[in-house]
Amino acid sequence: MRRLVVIEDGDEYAEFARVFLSELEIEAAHSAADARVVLRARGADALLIDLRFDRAPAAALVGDVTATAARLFAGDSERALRYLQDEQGTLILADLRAAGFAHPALFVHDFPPRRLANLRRLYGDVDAVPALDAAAIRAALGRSA
Amino acid sequence: MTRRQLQSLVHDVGKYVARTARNLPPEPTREMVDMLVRDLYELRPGQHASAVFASLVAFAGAPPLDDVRALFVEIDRLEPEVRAGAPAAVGRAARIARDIEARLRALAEGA
Repeated sequence: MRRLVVIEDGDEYAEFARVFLSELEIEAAHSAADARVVLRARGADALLIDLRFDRAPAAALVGDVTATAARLFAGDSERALRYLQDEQGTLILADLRAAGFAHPALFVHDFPPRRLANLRRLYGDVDAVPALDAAAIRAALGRSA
Repeated sequence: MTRRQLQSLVHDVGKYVARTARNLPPEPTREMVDMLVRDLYELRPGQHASAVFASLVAFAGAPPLDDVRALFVEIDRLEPEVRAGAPAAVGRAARIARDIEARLRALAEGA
């Protein structure tokens, strides 16, 4: 059975996958640190990653709010936190790639083609489906198999 | 409402409201119906999806989205039958949830 590690700030994707992708073994992770532990311990065939982590506490996010505020938002911490939450899925993928995990990664997000091409340039095997559609996810995972 | 706000709304509706509706087979299992019930009527503790949606679009500059609000009213009206697993009501509620997502997606694409 193929193993899918679902990385999200809640439980919606994992719950969905357990019901509608029941042919896969599903394990959930809720942060980059959590995902590293899971991948080291049990591995995976692919990653399903949410993009936005707006329920995650700042301490659990990849990226430093203060440094991001200084670098990108003229010291505005609120905007920096929102940015880190909104982009957390790609930041987690960057973190995992830097740690040596090259698993195929699938986002549930309607990325513009140029953005997806850029993610592939940066992080290799990356795909995206625009919505939680079991058939589309299955097809995308099949492409990366 | 900015394009980013609309895209965010589409993402949330797709993730929380339409996730089961989009994938429901013609003869869903009880587990799937229970998931649909959670999506539509228990999205947050004590809150229907309609109330969560209303709170998400309750800010200055948001479009009225009256058609979408009306669809949520219809979903709420179906609650007892959907909870009971009545096939026609389950199918109807799922179709409406998919329609809501499609309308918001079209709005975001046109923004």
